[in-house]
Amino acid sequence: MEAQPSPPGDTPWLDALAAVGVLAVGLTVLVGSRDIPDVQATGVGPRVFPQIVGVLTTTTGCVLLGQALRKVIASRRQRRRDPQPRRASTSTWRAVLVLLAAIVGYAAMLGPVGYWQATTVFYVVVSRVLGSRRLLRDAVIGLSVGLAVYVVFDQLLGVALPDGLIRWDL
Amino acid sequence: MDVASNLLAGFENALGPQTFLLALVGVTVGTMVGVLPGLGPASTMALLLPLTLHFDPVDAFVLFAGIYYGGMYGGSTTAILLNVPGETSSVPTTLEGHPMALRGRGGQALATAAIGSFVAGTISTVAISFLAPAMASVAKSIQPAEYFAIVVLAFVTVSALIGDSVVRGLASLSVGLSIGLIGIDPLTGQARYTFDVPQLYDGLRLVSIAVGLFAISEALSVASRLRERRARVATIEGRVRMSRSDVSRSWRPWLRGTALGLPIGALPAGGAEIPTFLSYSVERRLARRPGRTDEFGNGAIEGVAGPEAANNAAFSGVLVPLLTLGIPTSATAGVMLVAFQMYNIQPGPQLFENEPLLVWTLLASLYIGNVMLLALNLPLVRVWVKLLALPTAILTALILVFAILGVYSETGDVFEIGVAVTFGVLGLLMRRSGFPVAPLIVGALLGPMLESHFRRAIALSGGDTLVFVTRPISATILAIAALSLLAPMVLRRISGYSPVDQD
Repeated sequence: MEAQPSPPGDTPWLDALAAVGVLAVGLTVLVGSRDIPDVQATGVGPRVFPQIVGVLTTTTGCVLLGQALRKVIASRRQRRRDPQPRRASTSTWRAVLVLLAAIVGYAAMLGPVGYWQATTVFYVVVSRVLGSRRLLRDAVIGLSVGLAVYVVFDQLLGVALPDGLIRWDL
Repeated sequence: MDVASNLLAGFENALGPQTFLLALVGVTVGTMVGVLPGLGPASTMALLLPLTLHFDPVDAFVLFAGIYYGGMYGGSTTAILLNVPGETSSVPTTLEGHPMALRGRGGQALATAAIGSFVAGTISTVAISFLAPAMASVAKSIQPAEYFAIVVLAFVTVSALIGDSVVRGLASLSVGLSIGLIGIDPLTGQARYTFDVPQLYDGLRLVSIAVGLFAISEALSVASRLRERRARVATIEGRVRMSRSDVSRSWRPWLRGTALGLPIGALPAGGAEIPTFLSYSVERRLARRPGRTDEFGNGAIEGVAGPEAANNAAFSGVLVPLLTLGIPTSATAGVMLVAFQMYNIQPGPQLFENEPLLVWTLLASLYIGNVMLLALNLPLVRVWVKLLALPTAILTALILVFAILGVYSETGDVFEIGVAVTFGVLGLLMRRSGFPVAPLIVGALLGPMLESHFRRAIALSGGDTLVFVTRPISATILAIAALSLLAPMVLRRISGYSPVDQD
């Protein structure tokens, strides 16, 4: 399955944040384009297209921001008129942050500790974050997958994976 | 006839043991990936790209073709059983397929989807075999200005006709174009937006972007929804086959779906959603005629037969602009384009002349893939359903491990993991705020191509920037593109697909 965008309008503040993000990209492109020297003697240089893209991005960012702000104001007005108890969000953002930290940690550990070693730990951590409580089972899965991949890639396919502290040789 | 002899040569090649085996693997992996959450054909192909470099290009593409179709089929399975569409083009299947499953008719729904896809795929592959070479010879006379206009049209349709909001689609496209700017300009050697980071000199790698946007963002999304209850999997009661009355109700929708899917999918304009929704509306309207059974809303088999056939036909159709013009009109086609480029093969008008065996083998293996899908998936569907019952934690954690492996293994540079994570977060935010992902990938991929056509066209015209509107063909195409920005409103009314938010 691939990503399905949720219908816009659920979270006005997130829409505004997204709009700001797009705007930021557009402005970065425009500002950055000033540093590109227009070197080509004939025809169109390397600066023109970035400027066009920058204008397009900034414009859509502005339109989005306008839409989002209108929605924020409308939803505030509606809430004042018809105050309903805010439904507690079911989103578990802390798990997302922990997961991100785990990935960053994994990336950092890959070189020094080694591929299959780091993968084992990573797998166990991720399973736990996602709700699994069976530590031993996960450790076994993590270790098997890590080792299997390491052997197949590093030894059989010749794609280098870091050996880290312990090296296996077939 | 030239086509026939070429096709025979392609079949001969495709039936070689290694190639055949790879087609089998591709179809199986593709279905599995289409059924499982988090990965889809696009990200799976992106992950496998570094691996397949060791293969013969023909074999690699046979594998990808299998994954391509398998993924589409897997998406229908989840649509019917889980009420979760694998891609936007599977949404109509959920409308009638899931009610069928809930009523115990899941086996019939799956059967009509599989057979309909096979029928559509067979007809489409044959049609493409004739259509593609013809288009290629026309495409040879296309100038940069026209190319530019066509790519603009593809951009506009991918952004405007997919998803709910034109502005969001354009925003996604613009960000994608901005990302495509990163790197050294090939025409002048000028570094752009590289911020003195050496890994950026060649631009961002597609594998990292695709894996981040699809796989990692899905994992993060799962992490953010831990408190939600899992969707109920409808069980398949009885056998996966159709009765005679089912078949007699299905075969005309199959043909109608194919007729809708192939031409629309083959246009250098966005993808498979429109044909499937159109097919659904058509079938629904036709079922209301007197003397016909109308079960729409409760599980009408026509509502699965038509859209699934249209889906497959459109999928096949998408390959036409990809192979003949080098223009991908979906994220998955985009990944295939990158795969071609990694082998130094440039799809486009020259492809049929320069690499005939590759192209015809690819087409032949598409057909073989279709046969395999039918043969494999009807009996194996229960296995796939068991896969879905695995705990989310295991599935998602595994996906994450393989995703990072794919991103890391090609360069061994942790930087790529960082890129993938960034896009993972971006993908998560995009999903939550309703931004479509395909325009971003198409923009990032095709942006450089668009720019090079732009500059070449102006250089050819001696510095005249208005060349795009003064040349009649490119002007017409650009006008169509402009109209396409308005088309969503019109088409939505026709096809009855009503989004939540209008702009």
